[in-house]
Amino acid sequence: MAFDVGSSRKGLRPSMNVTPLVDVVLVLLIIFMVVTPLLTKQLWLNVPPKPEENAPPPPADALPPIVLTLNTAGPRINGQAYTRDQLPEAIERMLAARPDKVVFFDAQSDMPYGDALELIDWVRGHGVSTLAVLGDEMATPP
Amino acid sequence: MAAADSEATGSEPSRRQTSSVKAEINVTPLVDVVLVLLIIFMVVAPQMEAGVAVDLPSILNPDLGQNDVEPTTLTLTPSGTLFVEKEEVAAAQMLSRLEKLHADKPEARLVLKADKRIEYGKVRALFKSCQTVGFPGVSLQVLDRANQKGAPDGV
Repeated sequence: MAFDVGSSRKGLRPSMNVTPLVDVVLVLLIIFMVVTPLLTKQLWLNVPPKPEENAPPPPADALPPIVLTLNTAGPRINGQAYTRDQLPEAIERMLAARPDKVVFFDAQSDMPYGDALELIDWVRGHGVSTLAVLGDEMATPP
Repeated sequence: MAAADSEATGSEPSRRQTSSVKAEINVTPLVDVVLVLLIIFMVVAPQMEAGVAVDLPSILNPDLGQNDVEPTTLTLTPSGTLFVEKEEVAAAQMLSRLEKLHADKPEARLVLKADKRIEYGKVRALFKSCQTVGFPGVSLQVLDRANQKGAPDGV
């Protein structure tokens, strides 16, 4: 009733003010646009170059590369089993004796990729910066 | 409705006489905004999802910077299907496809979106192909676990 009286007296048509609504929607859109790419990150893994056919064999006194493997029983370094908590210290000790700071990684073929990445993440979080994945299977089932 | 119309038309002459303002919604700014929204979505939509949607693994220590110069996205779905960008590629043709990519753009980076449940052997086969072709490395697409505290742990 009051509405009718108002419209007949002032001649105003009731209309919704959409401007603040549109402002809010635009701001929300921009917030989502900024946040969405931040949720996905990337993780760089080196792929070692293919060994050449007639490459000279490494000298006999060369240190063997550090190969971190993961099978269903747990992580191993160069074949020796470690618990997850011992890993960072062991890798750090081995890396200290070497000029190159590369750790090679492989996992058992039927392990889920997510589990393998979790181990990579773990050693990366403990100071191993250069990781390389192997193209050939090194991890053996327990 | 008819009553309201007649009332509106009835009130129209009196208002015209007093203020001579036509009661109309000004649609121009609304249309402007909607058009801008449309353009924004058109620009953003292809970038929002490179490749095919998979369940990415979430980790705590991803790379800090992201220097994206148009990387090529490879996707490995839980069923083991391979996609280059959005195009399905048979596993047998993957090597030649990667060789072509490397020949076209030697500087280009590969980004691998692999499902977290897939067997590592399939991912390794892809690494092997990259090694054969001569890519220096692969970027794995992951979720930053630090940003999603509510996500279930240990998956």
